[in-house]
Amino acid sequence: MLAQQLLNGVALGFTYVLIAIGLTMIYGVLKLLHFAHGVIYAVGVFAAMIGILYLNMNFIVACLFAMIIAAICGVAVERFAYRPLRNVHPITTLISGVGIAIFLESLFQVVFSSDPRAFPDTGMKVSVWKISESISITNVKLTIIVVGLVALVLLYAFLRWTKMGIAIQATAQDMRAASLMGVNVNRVVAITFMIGSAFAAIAGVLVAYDINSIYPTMGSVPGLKAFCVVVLGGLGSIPGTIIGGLILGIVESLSEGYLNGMIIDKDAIAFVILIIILLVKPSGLFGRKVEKV
Amino acid sequence: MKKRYSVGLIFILVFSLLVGCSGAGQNSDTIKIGWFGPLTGPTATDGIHSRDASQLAIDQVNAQGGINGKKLELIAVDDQGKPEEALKAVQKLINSDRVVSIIDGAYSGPSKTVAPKVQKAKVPMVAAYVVHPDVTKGGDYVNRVIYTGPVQGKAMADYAVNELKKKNIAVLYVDIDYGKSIYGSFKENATQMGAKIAIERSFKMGDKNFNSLLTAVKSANPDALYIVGYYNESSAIVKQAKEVGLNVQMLGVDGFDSPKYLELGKENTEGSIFTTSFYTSDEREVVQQFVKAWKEKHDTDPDMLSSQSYDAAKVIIEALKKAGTDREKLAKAISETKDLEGTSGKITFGPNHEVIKPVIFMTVKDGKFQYIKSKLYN
Repeated sequence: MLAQQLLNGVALGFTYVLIAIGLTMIYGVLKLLHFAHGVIYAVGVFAAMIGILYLNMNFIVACLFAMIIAAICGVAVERFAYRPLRNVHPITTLISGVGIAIFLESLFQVVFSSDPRAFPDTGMKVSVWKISESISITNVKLTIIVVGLVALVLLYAFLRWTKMGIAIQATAQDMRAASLMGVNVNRVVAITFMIGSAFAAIAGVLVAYDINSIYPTMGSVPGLKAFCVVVLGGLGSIPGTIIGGLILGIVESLSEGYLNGMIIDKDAIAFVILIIILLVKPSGLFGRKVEKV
Repeated sequence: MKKRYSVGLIFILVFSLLVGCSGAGQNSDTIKIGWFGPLTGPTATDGIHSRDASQLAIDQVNAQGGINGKKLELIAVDDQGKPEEALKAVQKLINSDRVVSIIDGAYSGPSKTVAPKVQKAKVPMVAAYVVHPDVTKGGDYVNRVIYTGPVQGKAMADYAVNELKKKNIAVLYVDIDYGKSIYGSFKENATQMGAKIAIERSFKMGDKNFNSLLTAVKSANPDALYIVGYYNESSAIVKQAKEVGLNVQMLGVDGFDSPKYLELGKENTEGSIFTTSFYTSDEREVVQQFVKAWKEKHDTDPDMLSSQSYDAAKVIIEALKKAGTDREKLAKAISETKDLEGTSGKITFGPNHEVIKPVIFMTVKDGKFQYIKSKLYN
């Protein structure tokens, strides 16, 4: 049972990693807590749903479609909600993000109603793959892990070996210096939002497919948990985020599997971790020094 | 800051006083019946169905000319599924709308909070589908057209142990009054009848991922899984149970009884058995008429809680016909309801203001709900 719970935890953890990567990159570049990230995740899911239902896409095309729509949406959020506020107090930008999240969630509730609906039929079957007598994994969970790994490798390659990737790293180190060296900072920021939003969207689509449920507020809790992951790993640190996401997934999975009648909600574990980290090691596991947010 | 706050408070108080007064003059052409329940939020589907069903009953009476020449009017207020909002909703219905009676289309938490206030204000209320035992306690003004949670728990314990011969039953229950009250009586009765509870775990409304819980359930090796929850979570549980390789008999409660359960759970719902109070293929005339009228309006089959809410409205309407709009006489007439042909069985209220009617067992076959049997429990 322990091995099975660990496996459940890893699959869950990868969904957190995919969401949190965007947050941590955006924090790295802009020093901004992007509170509308959770809703971007929901945007991706609804885009996939529309793609499958109305545009006759198959699942893979719908995933790509969701990533593109979410990327556009992410860039739009940055352009209209954050960029006009770039040099004001960080709290203002943060509130702007919260506002966007509330607006989009409410808009979805008006357009799609707040009822959970089933993920549209994709023609794919959920199959169970047995690793041993007591350990099994579904193809969907396996896909989540594989997609997570592939995305991380691609991201690493992009940041390491492309000009734009290096520009992103430079901007994360020092935005003004990078812009003085001829880096187009606005483009870097836009690309960062695109990548982060696309990652959130693919996580959203896979989770929605896995749990067979789509609803407007589906991004809010994962979005908040992604924050905890980012703080746990260290703000702006990508390796930290990966470790943090996996830790959270495994801790949640184990606590639900072994503990009964917990005083706190299982969704609250992330926030308890957040509080402990902020008390003990505010810079997170892998973080550099943290300025006050 | 503090001063400004108190000024604001005074303003709100004065304002609400004005609003409260404006509704005072009772309109003599209509009889107002209140309704409250979740019209927004995660449980909105249930609330909307409940409201529409109550509205249907009232429309039907109005189409026949109303009661003593007076039309009925349903005033529906949203409680967002929250107790504090329900309290506000009911205060509005009583103080500003001056309703003669209230239909409770809400869940356990809101209903439990509201019930004492309703008793105190002496406004007759009929609870449609809430199952927590406390709702009808503490006075003579609240009746309920659905049996309480413990009755369902007892019924399923009897069926699982004595008919299906299950000996080692796992239980997952939703961590609210609904789940706890049904599960409590299930456990008591099942263990008395000689079965064992293999493992018991609670989950939260809105949970989507049950992998870890189900892995724990599987390692306890049960021969059946009793899920006390609503269709959103239950459909996810039956689906994910198959995925972790837990292939046992699924047992459930009236929270399963919604087309959404079949839609979200798909083929994984096949064979699950649950208790409820209503089924659309019931051949009694009142049921068939209700199903037909509902289909004309909504294009779908009515679910159990639509039927319950329709019956709740029916109970009030019949009592109004007998006793008129005096709240005290109306409450008495409601409590004396006997053998009323409701869509969910013949409705009679016991001395404790609880309904006495049979529990219905249903299963899922070929993607459709199917009737198994019904039995009276007290």
